[in-house]
Amino acid sequence: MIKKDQIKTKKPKDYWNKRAAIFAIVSIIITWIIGYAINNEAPPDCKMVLPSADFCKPLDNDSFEGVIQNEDRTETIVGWASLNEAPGYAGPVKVMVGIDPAGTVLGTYVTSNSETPNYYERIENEKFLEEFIGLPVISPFKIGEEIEAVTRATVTSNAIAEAVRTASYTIAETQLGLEVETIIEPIKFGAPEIAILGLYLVGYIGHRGNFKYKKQVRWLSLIIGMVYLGFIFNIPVTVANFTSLLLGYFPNWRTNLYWFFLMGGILFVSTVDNKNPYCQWFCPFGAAQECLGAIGGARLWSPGKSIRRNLEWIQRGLAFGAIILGLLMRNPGFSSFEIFGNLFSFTGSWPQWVILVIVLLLSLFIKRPWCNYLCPIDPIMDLVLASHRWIKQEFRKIWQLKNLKKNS
Amino acid sequence: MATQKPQKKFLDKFILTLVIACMVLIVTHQINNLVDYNTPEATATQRVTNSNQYVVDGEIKDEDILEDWFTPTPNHNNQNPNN
Repeated sequence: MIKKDQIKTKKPKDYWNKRAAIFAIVSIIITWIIGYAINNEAPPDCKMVLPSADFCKPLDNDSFEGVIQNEDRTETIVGWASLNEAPGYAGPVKVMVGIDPAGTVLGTYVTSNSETPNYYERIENEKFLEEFIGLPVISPFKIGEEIEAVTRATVTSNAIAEAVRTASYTIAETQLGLEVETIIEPIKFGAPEIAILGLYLVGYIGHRGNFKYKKQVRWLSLIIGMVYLGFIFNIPVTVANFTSLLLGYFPNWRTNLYWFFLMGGILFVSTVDNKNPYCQWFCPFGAAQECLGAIGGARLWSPGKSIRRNLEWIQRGLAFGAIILGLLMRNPGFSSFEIFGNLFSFTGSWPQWVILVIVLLLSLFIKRPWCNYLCPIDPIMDLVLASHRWIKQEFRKIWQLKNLKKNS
Repeated sequence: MATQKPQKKFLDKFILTLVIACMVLIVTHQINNLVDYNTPEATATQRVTNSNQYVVDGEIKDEDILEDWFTPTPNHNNQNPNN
């Protein structure tokens, strides 16, 4: 029988990995609690959407009445404001809507959001919020009808429209006495969902032990992943997705089924099969690097054991820092530092553009430089797989001990 | 062999420098994100009731950008200098 001490001396690398993993998990739990405690939002000023009001009276937690005080000290209602939220891509998008007594939208105001800043910027730059102004309170506020979605920020556009609709309908019913029709979004099952399910199927076939065309199938999977998940739908997995999961933020399942297929599939395969189905098989950015590597004849870079080890720990530190930041701010958008958006939707900050150029150039000569030294998904998947393995080992030990006790 | 070794050493150092530069840039990006994160106030755009004025980014502006969209509403606005 192997004693605990013997395991430690035999696997010093695993020893530190285990402790680092425990530290990471404990820190994540503590930061989650701290983030929850310090991010209690104060109610927003309803004058942001009812600018002519002298002051606002709260009607309930999420509704306000804007009034002006006349010279004879009587009050005139100038409108109502209502606050509502809808799930965006990385978390809830909270919107305040102002409605005047004639039933027209006066103003809209995003009080908080969790979207990746570079994508949310598109909403601001395209002046998306102005599209709602002047619409009747009982409009369907439907994307593609009265409202045009912002390209490459459609999930956020949908979330804002949904929040505006719910908030407006609340005022229509409670203050204006209007009857409104409840709009239920139809379940969207289309090309992104089919592509993801297809990729999992290809991966499942390719992973089988002695499959003859494993290499070819893997390339096919990578290219489909790059084209569909990358360039067409722009939905690669990012660290923000994991932070969203930890925060319990889920997008609307009716309109974002692919998100559940993608994240659910990764977690399902990694816990059941103890394998990472994503990175080596259909990560769009990994595929882009491999394509460049094939052109330039890239090789695996071996900088020496100690440097490799140090770089690995820095990579883990970057991933850990990103998650901690997202949890502390309760905003997954803060987590994301990946350069996928730069390549697939031409959106990103200047440091990300510089990183993209460096990584693409390096990809010509060394294999997957982003994945091997910078990507936060790799350490996260390592943590998930290792935790799963360790838990399994511990259960096996307990089981063996129980059996020994029974036999003796 | 003798010429290959310094060349490899140089290449290794060069690649390592680039990788470390990327790591520094990632941290820069995260710090910039924190500093520049848009406050909710910056996203607000509203029309001032029954006037040609709009509140854009918290400031009242005279731009007629959305004039055609509105139907007249009762005048409650005491901020409009045209009244």
